[in-house]
Amino acid sequence: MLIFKSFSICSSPLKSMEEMWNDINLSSLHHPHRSSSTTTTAQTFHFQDLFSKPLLSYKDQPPPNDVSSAGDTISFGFGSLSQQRTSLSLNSDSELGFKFLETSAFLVKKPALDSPACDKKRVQQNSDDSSEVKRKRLMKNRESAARSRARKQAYTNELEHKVAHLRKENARIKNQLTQFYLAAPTALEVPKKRTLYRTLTAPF
Amino acid sequence: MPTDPLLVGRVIPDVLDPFTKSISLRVTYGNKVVNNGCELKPSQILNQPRADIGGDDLRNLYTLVMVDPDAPSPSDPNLREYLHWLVTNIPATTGASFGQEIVCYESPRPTVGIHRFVCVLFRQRGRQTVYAPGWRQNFSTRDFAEIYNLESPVAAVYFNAQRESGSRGRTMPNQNI
Repeated sequence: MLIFKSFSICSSPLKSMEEMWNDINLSSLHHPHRSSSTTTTAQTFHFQDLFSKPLLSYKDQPPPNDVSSAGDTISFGFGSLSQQRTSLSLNSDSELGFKFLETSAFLVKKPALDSPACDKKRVQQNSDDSSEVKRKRLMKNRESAARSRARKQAYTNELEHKVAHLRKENARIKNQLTQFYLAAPTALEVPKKRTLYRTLTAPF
Repeated sequence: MPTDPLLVGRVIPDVLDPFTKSISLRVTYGNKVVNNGCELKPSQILNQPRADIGGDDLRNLYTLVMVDPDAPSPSDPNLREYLHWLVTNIPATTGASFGQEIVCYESPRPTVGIHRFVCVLFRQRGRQTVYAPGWRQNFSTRDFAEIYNLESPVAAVYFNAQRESGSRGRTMPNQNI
């Protein structure tokens, strides 16, 4: 909470404090303290880092549109802070301060596959690849199994609905029929079939 | 209904948004009536089915769309949806054979996985001219309905189909002759 307070010092904001809070709430921003425990890669951006290093100039950065959330990977629009060496100045007359907060609200969750290579990464890459393949295979299998279950369940449901519907229909028709019988018992009687029969017309 | 086969089978939301069924749609291949989620063999679905619709006023016209949302394979449906059949101006109480075939029936030939084939019925606001899309793949039933100002679907039914005979498929003679 203390961190947010320091930003409010900036004057002439483009947006109101309320809007800023909304932006932060909308993003999947982890609590600053939690973020440090969930990361395993060098690309992780810690909120605290904002204040420990010289900040990046907003003008040198790509527009906020770059911050996108694809699936469950949320990437930081600025790329890897630790590798870029530009300086950011958070001055009072620039409304950029609030924009920075907006775009910096996302943390890197997964290591990007096209990340700049460093030695540690290359060594990990090979083992990562095979485990990646395994993981993908597992996911595919899981999805396939889920589809299979859904298929089975859907058909069962359909049959159950049909059975219920047909039972109801059956009951309704039987009911109707009994009512007809009660109302006009003679109307339904089939006229007796006339069959040929022998008779004696002549006495011989 | 959480147990609606269309929901459980994921036809909603993969192809359609939730809707209320308001007219009967009976799709029949030969003497086999299609029930949601039933499995048919490609040899059974070679030729276009009968599609009988309910209703009571012949002046109401309907559009029938048949798509495969699992093309080319359910685990990677990058051609979703593949358009198999499109018929418009079908009068109520009649069948697809009384309508105008905009995209002729192409018999499903799933190669990988078990595909769903969805038949959707839309009520038209009046007689209309529908133009065939340039290609069958990557069709969007939703977009189509929007472009032609069709309301929510009035009925839908789907079935499953997979390659006729597993791994032997390639060595078996062509069954389409």
